[in-house]
Amino acid sequence: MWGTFWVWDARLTSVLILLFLYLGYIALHDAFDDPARGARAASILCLVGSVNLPIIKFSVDWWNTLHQGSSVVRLDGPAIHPSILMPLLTMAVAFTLLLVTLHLAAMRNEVLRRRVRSLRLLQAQAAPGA
Amino acid sequence: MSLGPHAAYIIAAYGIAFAVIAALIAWVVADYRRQRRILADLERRGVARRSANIRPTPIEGTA
Repeated sequence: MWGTFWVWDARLTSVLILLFLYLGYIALHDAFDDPARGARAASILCLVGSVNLPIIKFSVDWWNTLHQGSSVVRLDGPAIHPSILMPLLTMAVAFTLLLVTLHLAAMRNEVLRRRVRSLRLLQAQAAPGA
Repeated sequence: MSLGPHAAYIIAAYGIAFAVIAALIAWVVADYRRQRRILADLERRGVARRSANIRPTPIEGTA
């Protein structure tokens, strides 16, 4: 038990920054009238923001804070009891599969959305007086 | 099964997780149906992609 809902721990803070990067990515992507320009700006932010990933991974090693050190991916094997480790890994695989499926479905939706957009542009160009 | 003194937190955490995942799935499915409906409406009104208007030309000597 940590005994607190929030603390400015290195792991928690670096993951909070990741959340802000995600929100910034979404906001930047939608901030341009031209979707291509929005996608380019967002991809640059994505590349810059990926610097945060190794910081999150190694934050528990670099700083001695409330969060425990590495307990799953370790050279000497996981430090977690199998009764907790197995459900943890099972749910990690399950959530990964669920989110990959949802991501693929959302990509299909995006393809359809772009098709709608191009058809509406065609319709506008074909309209009398256009 | 007794969940101990933290039962309320455990049940709330499961409940919120289920609600968020269900909302995420419903959102993606509803978005798919909406885009399909808009596309069907556009096609009904005769709006088609340029590539859809291209007729295949017969290869010389086969027609």
